Amino acid sequence: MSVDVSLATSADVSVQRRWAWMAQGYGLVVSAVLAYFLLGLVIQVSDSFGNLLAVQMPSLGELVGDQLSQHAYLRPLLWAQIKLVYEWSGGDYYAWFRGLHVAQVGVLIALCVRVMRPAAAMELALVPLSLAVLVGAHTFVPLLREAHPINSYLTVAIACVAAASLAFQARPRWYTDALAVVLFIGATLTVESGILVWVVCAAAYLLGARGLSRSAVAMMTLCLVAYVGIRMLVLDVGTPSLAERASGFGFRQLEPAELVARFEGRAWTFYLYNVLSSLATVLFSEPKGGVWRFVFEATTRNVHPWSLVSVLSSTAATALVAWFLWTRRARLRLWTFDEDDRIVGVFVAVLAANAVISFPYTKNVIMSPAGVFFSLAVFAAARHWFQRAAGTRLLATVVIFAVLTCGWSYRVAGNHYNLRRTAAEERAVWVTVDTWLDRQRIVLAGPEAHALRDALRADALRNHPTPYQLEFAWTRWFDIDW
Amino acid sequence: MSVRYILLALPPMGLTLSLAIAIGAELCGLHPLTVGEPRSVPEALALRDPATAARMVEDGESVDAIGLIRAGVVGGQPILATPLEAAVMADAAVSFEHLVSHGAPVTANLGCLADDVGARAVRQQIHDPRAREASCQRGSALAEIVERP
Repeated sequence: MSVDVSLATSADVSVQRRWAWMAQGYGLVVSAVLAYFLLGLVIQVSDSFGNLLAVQMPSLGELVGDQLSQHAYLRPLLWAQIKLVYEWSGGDYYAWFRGLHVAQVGVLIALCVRVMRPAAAMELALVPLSLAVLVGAHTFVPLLREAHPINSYLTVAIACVAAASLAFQARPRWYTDALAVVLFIGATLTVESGILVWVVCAAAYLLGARGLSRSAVAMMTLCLVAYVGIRMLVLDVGTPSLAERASGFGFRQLEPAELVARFEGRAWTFYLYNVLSSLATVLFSEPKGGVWRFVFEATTRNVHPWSLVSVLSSTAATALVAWFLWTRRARLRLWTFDEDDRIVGVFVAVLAANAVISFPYTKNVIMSPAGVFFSLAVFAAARHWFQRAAGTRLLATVVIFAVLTCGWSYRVAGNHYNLRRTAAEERAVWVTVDTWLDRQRIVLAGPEAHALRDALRADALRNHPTPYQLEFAWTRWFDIDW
Repeated sequence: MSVRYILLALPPMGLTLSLAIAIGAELCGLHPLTVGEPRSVPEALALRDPATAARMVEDGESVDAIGLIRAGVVGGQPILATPLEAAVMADAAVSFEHLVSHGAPVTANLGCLADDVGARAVRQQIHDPRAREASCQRGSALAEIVERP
């Protein structure tokens, strides 16, 4: 008898693995399609060329040392990564930096599929929807179209999902504990949002996940306390002020001077606005970057299909997750959770923490980790829906999942279309890069700087020509300032 | 796998596979969703591809020769335009600046064309006094290009 049970269990595991591998195969196709469009982009002038110039002359040690005396930001490993890849590239900047970007996106998608762990046909069918929520989200867009020339927020998103994958394992191992701590330290010293790795691990542990040991979570907590203490008391890094950069408010972007004029002395109201906006942007795709675009368009009766579908599809996804939380409220009282509860619980924790650390200013990219976990939460909630509710609520199932699958697919299509446009726009700046340098008051010092400019311009104009721009009947449906 | 699961996966999966097929076609030299490689400086600008236009100019293409913009790129009919006219019609300020720096002549008509097509960014780039102060009959500059033999 025990032999039969063992065989049955072995067969089940084999079938489950098959679904998981099929899901990874689909993830690979999604990654490959994205990779093709991503390789159409080049190293951009703004945010990338200046950073590459900055890492040219100083040694790695000098770069990291300089970062320890910066105001408002503490990102030594980001600069170390840029320096290392710059040196390793041996002058082949496009291949190394663009290749790294593609690899990062592929790793993120593979990790997301790993966290979903589809173990049945129905769960496999939900993977395309979940990946559409991931890739179609406006918080994901800046992870694709921007690189500086390494996208630090993409690094953090990968670290967060990798930490979740470790935390959701069946039992801890010394090397997964060590890896989680390394992920936390690495992500936090890359960009401030890296502390979300701790949020992921701590939330997963609190919700009963035991893939990481208590010691590992305690060690990460100690590291977090040390980071905050050193940042505030030793290095006196501080936080960005109102005058640091422009930020969305109401129906438009306010320049730093306008922010100071409007909120000086009561900055907390602006910070509260930013936190609430950051929560809403993940859940409803509105506001975007702090600007209430859909509301503006609705009040002026000029709603773009893109805005409408974004808000509708996000709201449908949020409704599904809210339904899940409501049906699982008894579990909260008993504090006993299954895998889906933990995925959604970690999303709620990441969303809240991500919004709070976004208080100084609102940008879609800052909320990208929460956006990634939103796609995982939609997967868990949808799985629960099909296990419990789909059989009895046919009409609701058809309506909700028609809006979700069609709406998010439209957004994915739009993001690919706009990657092509971005490919042309990025190259346009390289045409007159010297004018840009004059405007930024950047002087190219020495032959290395000139050689770098010439190499990157040649990459943009000659070595990697603009991919052909998409021209078809429905382009105006995607033709937005994303 | 039941039909409802296939329906569930169909929209996002269908899109991904369609994109994969379009990529495969593009790699094979077919262009189902594009008009392919720009064939002249004005056409590159009309396709919002200033980098290709710049490369053509830097490789020796004329900055003031009238070129063909194929049907379907701007409206349903083919258009004959100079590079600067195409830059104005696309409101491509960067390209306008680049062409002028390479010796493209700014004519009085360009300011009127910018007004006709609502090219605000390029309008600000036009510093030539003849073009800035030209008296324009609304629509005539654009009509002149569209009706060019």
